[in-house]
Amino acid sequence: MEELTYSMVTTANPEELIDELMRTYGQEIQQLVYAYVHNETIAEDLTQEIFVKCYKSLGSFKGKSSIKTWLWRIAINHSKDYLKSWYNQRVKVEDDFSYIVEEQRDSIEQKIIQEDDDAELAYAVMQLPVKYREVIYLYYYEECSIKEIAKLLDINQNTIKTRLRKGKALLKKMLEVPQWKND
Amino acid sequence: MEERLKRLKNAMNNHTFRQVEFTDIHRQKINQQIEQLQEEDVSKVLLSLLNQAKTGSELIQLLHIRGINGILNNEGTVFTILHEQEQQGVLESYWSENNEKYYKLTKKGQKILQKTMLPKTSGELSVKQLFHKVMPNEN
Repeated sequence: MEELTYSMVTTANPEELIDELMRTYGQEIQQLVYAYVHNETIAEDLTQEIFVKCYKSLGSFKGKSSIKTWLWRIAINHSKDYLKSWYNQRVKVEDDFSYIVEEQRDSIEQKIIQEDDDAELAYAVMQLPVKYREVIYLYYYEECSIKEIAKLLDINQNTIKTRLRKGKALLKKMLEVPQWKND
Repeated sequence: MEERLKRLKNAMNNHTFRQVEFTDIHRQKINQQIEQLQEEDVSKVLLSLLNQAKTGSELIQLLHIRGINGILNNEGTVFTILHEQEQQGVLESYWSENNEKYYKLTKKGQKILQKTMLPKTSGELSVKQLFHKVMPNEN
């Protein structure tokens, strides 16, 4: 994954470098962002902002971490800033619509869930609170080490381990008592 | 749970991310935005350099010194911008005795410069703030 090296960053034309970063990591970044915001359109917009931000900040990249780590940190912070933002928390108009859509989607997804273990797992992970979802995602989906996650999130390794444990416990609970079996 | 989570990659690829796709169109849109940013950057700095008359090659050197991304491997863009600004009456040019072309701000250009100095400072601040947030351990 480290084919883009520091020397490339310092010698390449920045425009071409960002283009290369997008070709290499664009899809992964958009998925990472989606895992935070759980909305396709917002994930697209934020991904766009993230790469523009990278372009603007390229001059400050010192090569002390890999460019992938650097890019991931920008993406994670940008996604979290969005979740914390005034806009996301206060604009309820959109929420009202999505609530209806969400209800429909829920029932559709429940149908699928009955047939598919994987769908059930993926759905459950996306329902986790962000602080558990992000560590589960980085550890099991992206296959990062605890140490790497600590670096990406700026959180110490013990906290990551605790959150992984709690996240797994939550998932277990969610998956053990599926709602449709209550009927 | 541990066993089941080993399938998370598959599970999310087949379900969660089915509609999530970073396409060439997305990439091109971002490239366009960056290109526009570059031009804005270059023209802002050009204005600030032209309070005193300078030649094209002096300007290019100064832009390199300031680390302006937009002109790397693309110095021609400076002349395009100079030409556009001259047509808009922001700059004027004249030939010296040594047969070198000099560029200088007009009165209109000086007024524009004064206005653009403010947003420029705040722009720089936000990039610094970003980096403070993004990599507190690395700077």
